[in-house]
Amino acid sequence: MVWVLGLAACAPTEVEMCPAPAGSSATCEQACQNLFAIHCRVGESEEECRRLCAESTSGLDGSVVNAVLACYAGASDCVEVDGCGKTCGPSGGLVPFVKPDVDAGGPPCTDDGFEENDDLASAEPVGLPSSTPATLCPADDDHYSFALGMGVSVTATATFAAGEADVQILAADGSSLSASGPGPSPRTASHTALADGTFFVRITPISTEVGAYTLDLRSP
Amino acid sequence: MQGPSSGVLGAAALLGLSLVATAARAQPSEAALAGAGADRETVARDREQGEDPGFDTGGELGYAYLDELNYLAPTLSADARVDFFQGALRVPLRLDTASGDLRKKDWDETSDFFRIGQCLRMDWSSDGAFEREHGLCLPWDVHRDDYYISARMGPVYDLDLAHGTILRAYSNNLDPDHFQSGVVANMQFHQFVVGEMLLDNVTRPELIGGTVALQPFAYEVDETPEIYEYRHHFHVAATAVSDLGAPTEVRTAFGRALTDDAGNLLYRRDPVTVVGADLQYRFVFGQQIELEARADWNYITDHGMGTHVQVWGIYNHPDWLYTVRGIGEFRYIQENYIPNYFDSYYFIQRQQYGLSAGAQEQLDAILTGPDSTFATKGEYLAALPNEGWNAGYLGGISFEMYRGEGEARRTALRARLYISDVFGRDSDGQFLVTLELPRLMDKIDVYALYSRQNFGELLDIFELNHTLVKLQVRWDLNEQFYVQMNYGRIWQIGVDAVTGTTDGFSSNNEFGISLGFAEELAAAVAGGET
Repeated sequence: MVWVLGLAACAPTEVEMCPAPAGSSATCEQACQNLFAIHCRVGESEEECRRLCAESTSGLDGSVVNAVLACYAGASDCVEVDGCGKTCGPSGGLVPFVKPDVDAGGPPCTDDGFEENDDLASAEPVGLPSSTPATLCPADDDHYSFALGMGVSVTATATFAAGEADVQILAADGSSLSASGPGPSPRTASHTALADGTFFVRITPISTEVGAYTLDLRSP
Repeated sequence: MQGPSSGVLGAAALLGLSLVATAARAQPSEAALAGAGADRETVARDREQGEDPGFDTGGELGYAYLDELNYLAPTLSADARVDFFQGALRVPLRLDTASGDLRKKDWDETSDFFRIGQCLRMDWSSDGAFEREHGLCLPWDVHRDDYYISARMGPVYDLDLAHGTILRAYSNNLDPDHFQSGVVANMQFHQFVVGEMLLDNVTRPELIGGTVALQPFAYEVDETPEIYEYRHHFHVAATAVSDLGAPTEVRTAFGRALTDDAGNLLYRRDPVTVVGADLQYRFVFGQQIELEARADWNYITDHGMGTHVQVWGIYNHPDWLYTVRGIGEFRYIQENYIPNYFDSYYFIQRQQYGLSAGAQEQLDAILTGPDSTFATKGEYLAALPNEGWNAGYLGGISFEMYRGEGEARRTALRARLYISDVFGRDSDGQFLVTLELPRLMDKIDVYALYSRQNFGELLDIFELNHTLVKLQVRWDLNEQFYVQMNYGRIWQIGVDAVTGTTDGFSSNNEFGISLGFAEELAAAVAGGET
């Protein structure tokens, strides 16, 4: 279930008011890179920004997405950034970004037995190698922990039937060591340990329909 | 000077840097009670002729709790006094006990570095007396015939302008992640003219305000002192407060709120200005009973206006053991007028109005659109209808006890309580209570504030979520050592665990306790006592 920021009665898409040159386009990566470069942050990291970008523009008209991303990528200050979402939308109005409404229900999702593995402290321990079937519900990250020796590499792969997700390998302090980036199945992240320790895998739902997935941890 | 209490004073200056309104205030003299202008009950404090220049230094070591983390909290402190200038300096650090890291949010903005200057002040007074800074950054209380100018820079707490109908209990530091150093200035010219000015942030000024009160008959121009004594009780004042950078709408990307690198929400802005005029007259019935009538008219420019009519009854105990002041206010306001617009929550609500459930209900009632989380107070004001008038009330009481006699009489306890509401406007109640215990047993200062805005039912007053609470205690163990404790129920911007984007202000706890030490390093004779 999603709801939309914007005007419900918008006319057909008109993007000619966008400050980006006609026909220009950019990727979420380029847009977020520029947002952080000009000190207009959405999310705490560029990586989170990219995930939000992919999530919020999912399902939008292609011409709107192209125009607004080009606008974000070319903006020189936060005033312009704010204007991008206001002028690239239908009839020069708000861009109808998609935003999950976790409080409003959404499709039924029966979570797995590993819950609540919503943060590092409650991460589910898994072995290496291992294959773990689980369920990813909207707006509910899953976390797994595993031990890794110095110089040993690990590859974490999440496979699922529908939707988009992001896989990250995290250090014990929560910092991200490797990320697949948001996208459809399969999503893979790899890392080689520089020291013995406990590491974590975080699976983040980008869209609401991921559901069942399998996490495979492999060491070459 | 190395008087018997200088160590204590030095310690007070050092420690009390973060304490507010805990001055060892004296009891009001009859002259002081005739104060005009600000609503502050003017009282005399410890003062000395020809204060010596001096320099004290010391430090504190303590424990702090914030962000659900434990911190080691060392602080370097210093206090300097040279002629009309005094500076209370400190370098407060918070080190994560788990990682040893310095808390980055304490020092990631330009304005954060003004934490070092907790109180920098300049004071000129015609009577030549000098009052030592106790780290309180409060104005001196001077006789009505004196001339006095004071300018003080530091955090601003619990400030009223004029009768408080425009700006009441205002604080500019309710988010520990974003420090602001403001300026408050006072002036008095024989009480013929009395004024006060406020600036919220020296690094990025946005809120500026001032009030000027005239007592047109206060100047003794003829040989009729008895007439003067009655006439001088009349005063007229004008007040203006403007938030030049009042947020109107949060800036977004991908439909989410934007922040700068320090986590400040980014807004589109449009000034909000409130102007007002007021009259006041005090009737005196002997030494014990006084009655005061006040009438304020205020206008939020481009929005609505309101009138406030107050009656104060004042009873002084015959032996000056205590004073009780009671207030009743009737207010008649337009629907698009908000009483004391710059209130105790303003620092937060200018950015996000819907903090409490009551405020959220107000927003939901008048704002359209799916997301009112980041609706600002300016946005709420603009959405109020301009269709009619509402009546409302404010009731309050203040109580002050004294100790000592004559010139040595001092305030032992001061408490005040206000409650107000507007009829026909849901969830618009305001509640404020403060308590001061200055120099209890000559060792302990206590200051407490509890403020709840936007409540609907009376029992909501005791809901702690999104209530402003401050408790500060200082205990002088001896002339060098002291303990200080503070607790705050304040606000911080939260981050959504799933999206990583800000999800608005949440109500959080801040606690600290420390042991401090201060010693006078240097004192030069400057023509006064030694």
